[in-house]
Amino acid sequence: MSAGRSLAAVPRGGEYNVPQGYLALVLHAHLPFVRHPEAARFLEEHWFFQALTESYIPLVLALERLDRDGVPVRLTVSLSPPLLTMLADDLLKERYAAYLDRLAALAEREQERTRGTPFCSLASFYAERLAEVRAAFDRYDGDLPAAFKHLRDAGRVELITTCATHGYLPLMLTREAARVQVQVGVETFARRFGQPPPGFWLPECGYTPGVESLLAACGIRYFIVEAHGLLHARPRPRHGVWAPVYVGDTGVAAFARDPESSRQVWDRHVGYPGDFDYREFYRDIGYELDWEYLRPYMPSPDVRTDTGFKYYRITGRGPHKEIYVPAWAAEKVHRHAEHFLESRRLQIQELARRMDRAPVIVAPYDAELFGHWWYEGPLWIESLCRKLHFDQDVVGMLTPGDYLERFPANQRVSLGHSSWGAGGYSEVWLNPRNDWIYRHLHHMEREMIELTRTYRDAPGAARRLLNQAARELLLAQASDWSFILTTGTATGYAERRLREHIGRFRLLADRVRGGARVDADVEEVERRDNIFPFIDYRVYGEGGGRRTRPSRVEPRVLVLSWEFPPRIVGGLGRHVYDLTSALARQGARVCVLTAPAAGRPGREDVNGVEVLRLPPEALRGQDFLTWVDELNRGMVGLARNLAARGAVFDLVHAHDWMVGAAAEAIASSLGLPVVATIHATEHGRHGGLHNELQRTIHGREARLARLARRIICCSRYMADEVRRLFGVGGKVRVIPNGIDAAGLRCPADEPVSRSPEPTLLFMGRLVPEKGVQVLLEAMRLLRVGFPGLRLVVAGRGPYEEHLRHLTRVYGLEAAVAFTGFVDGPERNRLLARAHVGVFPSLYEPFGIVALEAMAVNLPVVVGDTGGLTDVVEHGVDGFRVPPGRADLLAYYVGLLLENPALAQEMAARAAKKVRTLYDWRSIAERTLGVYAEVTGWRSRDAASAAGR
Amino acid sequence: MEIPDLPTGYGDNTVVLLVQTPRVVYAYWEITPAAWHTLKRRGVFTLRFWEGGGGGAHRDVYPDLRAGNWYFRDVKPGVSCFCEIGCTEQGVFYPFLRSAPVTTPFDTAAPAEGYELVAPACEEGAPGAALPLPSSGVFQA
Repeated sequence: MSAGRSLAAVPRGGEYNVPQGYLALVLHAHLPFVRHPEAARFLEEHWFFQALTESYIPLVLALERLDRDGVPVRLTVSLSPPLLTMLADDLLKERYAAYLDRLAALAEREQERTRGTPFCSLASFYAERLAEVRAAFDRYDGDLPAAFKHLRDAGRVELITTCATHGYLPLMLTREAARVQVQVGVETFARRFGQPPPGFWLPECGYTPGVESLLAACGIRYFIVEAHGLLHARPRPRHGVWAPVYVGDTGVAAFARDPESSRQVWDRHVGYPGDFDYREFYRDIGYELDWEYLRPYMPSPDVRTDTGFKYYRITGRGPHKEIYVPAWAAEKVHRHAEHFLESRRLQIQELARRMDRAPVIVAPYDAELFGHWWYEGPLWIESLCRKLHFDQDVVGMLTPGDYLERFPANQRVSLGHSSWGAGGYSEVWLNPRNDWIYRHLHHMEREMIELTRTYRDAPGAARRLLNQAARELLLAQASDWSFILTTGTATGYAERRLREHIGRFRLLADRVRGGARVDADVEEVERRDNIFPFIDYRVYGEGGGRRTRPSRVEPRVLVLSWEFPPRIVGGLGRHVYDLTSALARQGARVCVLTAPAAGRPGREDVNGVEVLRLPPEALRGQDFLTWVDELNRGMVGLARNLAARGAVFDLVHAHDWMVGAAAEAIASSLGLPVVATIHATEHGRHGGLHNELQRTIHGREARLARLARRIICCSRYMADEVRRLFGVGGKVRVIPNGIDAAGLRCPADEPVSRSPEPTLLFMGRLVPEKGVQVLLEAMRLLRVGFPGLRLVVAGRGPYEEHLRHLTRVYGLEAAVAFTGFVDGPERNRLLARAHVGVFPSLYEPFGIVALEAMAVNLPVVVGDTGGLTDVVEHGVDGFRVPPGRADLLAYYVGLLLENPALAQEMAARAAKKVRTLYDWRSIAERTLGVYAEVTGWRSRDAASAAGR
Repeated sequence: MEIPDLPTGYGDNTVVLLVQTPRVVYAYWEITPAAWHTLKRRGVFTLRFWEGGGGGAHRDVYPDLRAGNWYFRDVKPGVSCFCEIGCTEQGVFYPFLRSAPVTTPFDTAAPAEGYELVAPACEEGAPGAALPLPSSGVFQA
């Protein structure tokens, strides 16, 4: 960034003048990945060849001339991953060289054909330009990114990138799909340029809330939105589009496109490119000369296309065209550069009077506008840069990254969805011409995520198939296809590409499930769609492919929990046991500090986890809070002993407020970050704080919440409660509890079948908030349509007598059975016999019993409350009913009872979901992801990806 | 590799909302034959669109279930929306599927108000520290 800082005070005749404001010129270079080895020549590959010839190479040549002349230009260039991949592809480079050869031959013939006419000098002009491009291409040895890297290293450009295949983020279904687009884009860039990009181009400037956190996770500092995207922010941006804002609490800045400078270049009627002296894009000899004459030089044997030989100027609005005169066009280039600069100078002088800082005018453009569409565009950029340097000192030139270094303090806002497409939102990418694609793309997203969860560490052939499936998904997501379908040009190709990628993805997914064989046809697909050779499909998994990290950086975790088996009071101890075992299986080094347990040693190894227990004599307090304080003091002592014998940890993971004081003391003395799991809150348990003890506990919970760098909650419901009660925003993460599905099945030698009569099952404590009284009322309604219906209520609790009383009042004694407490085997038998599991809770932090039912293919109807809203997706893998609504409970239970096919379908989906989402391995991986957030391993990953 | 035709369905029960503009929200859905059979027997296929969350206003439309998609127009900018698919029986709507919520963007600027500047903290994801403005601290635009 030293070059950026130097621009703040550009030397002018021995003096240093500080500009009053800045221009940030941003060029975004992107083309879809088009590579067709199956054909000798392919029409759409010429998009790339034309852009190279007319835009990318002329742009580099212009920047090199500026550099050579000592003009301290400072430009931002975004290079998309598909473009970077194509620029490095040997096949395309070879074909591009052949393309240039053909054009050179055409140039010779054109000079002959036009000899003696006014067009001859233009033919010679094109011949010279082509020779210049060819010489540059050969000089770079075909490696254009190296030229950009050289310019970056010289401080002339700031290089950034965009999504992996230019996927339009606002219309993606899942966060994982959007994350992978960002992550793979950044990785492609880092592999090419040796470090991650400082900024990120959102494809089509398409922003949707949440994108900023994906960028933050990749170390990105800024992105750019359309003007209204910033102007409609909440709260209102104080400086409009002329200063960046920070989005949410991520520290990622958004810059906005300046409308005026955009209009001067972009507008098809009043923009510079429409000047009558500039070259006419739409008059190309490719459409005008005899076909037999052109055929040897054309990419397709039967389709006319542009050759680049265009002999006319725009001339006027009508069809009449006059011959193109390069000298006139060059003169206009300088006048337009001057006009643009003068407009910025006036704009900045006016803004600087109103603002308390130097304004920045962000002028982003598609790079292909310059050269391809506006032939004289690269020269205009060159002329503008020279005038900026030599002719004035009001306007400085910098990059968004430079500006943030100079002005790090900015307003914080929330942005809404926006884009730079027509209309300003998503109409271009979502309308009746292209809306059909989203059901397919979204299904691919879901299936890719599910495949990743199912095949976590697929070996050889399956891995190849899954990696290719990931490529096909990414390629299908390119914003180019939906854009082309809307504009109506080349729709056949866009539709074909979509169908191919969707179809290949489906076939690859089927192959994975059907034995994972890599046949010749799969190899052919790998050869064709060979983008992202480094991709690991597990990037779609928990932690974004975290498992690719070398084992040497697996975390060392000090876990604090007052419960641990055999000391089991509630669910916490079991949770810590299962989680720490799973973490250890993932390679983490885990040490648990806990309370004493009768008959257990002070130190033991439990499933690879080191467990240290306090001596019983350490806890003598009779008063609850005194006992808790002793527990915390004891844990601090254990930690001190560990440190004294050389143990090293990366973080402290505290479970609930009872170990909060120890977590604080240990973290402080060892300089460690704290992750806290808050399993439940005192406020939530009691519906408020009603006495001094509850208020004390609440205060300690709040202190732990403040201390923790990340807080883990088991459900969105609990996360919302924690955020609301303790005012902690972005640091809360939701990771559900897990279950052991295998332990819920009846032994194979004792098969149990469904009851002959329809049977509902409830399991849980008999307390009012479990809603059994609502279920009994629903039973009364259901019995009208299902006279033989039975209900089994498994569990015990203080509400049991009242429920028995209700059963008698409703006349259900013969239909309802209260089993009392059931052990594991009996629970499994009840689950196997029932037809529908009903859990009509009025309050439920998580809802593990519903998960247990789902795990064994029992269709479920649950209360639409608390953690159950995360567990059951209404109409997909069960039904959710508003708490207390017996009529609706009866309705949905009735639906399942009268439609066994529907019940079976939902149960199957539910069981699959439990297997993939709620198993301990998945939960451990997500927990490791949270650990990575607090210890900064992600940045180490990025460094690793960059080859450092 | 011979490319198969696009499937007409994936065996899912799903309804998805996508924001097209601040005032237009697109919905698409898929219903499995088993669910379709259930809905058909029960009542009139209904698409219920909620603006402003579950406690907000709703409107019902009755498209052909097989059409598979619908554009909700005249939506309010800056609101959370979701949609339910279900059937109406004797005037009562029973939701069968529910979309995830989406939020339409604002299409106007916010009222002017005071603001403060922040600098990004070193730790990723942590809120930036508030910095006082050089003059008054709060600027009324």
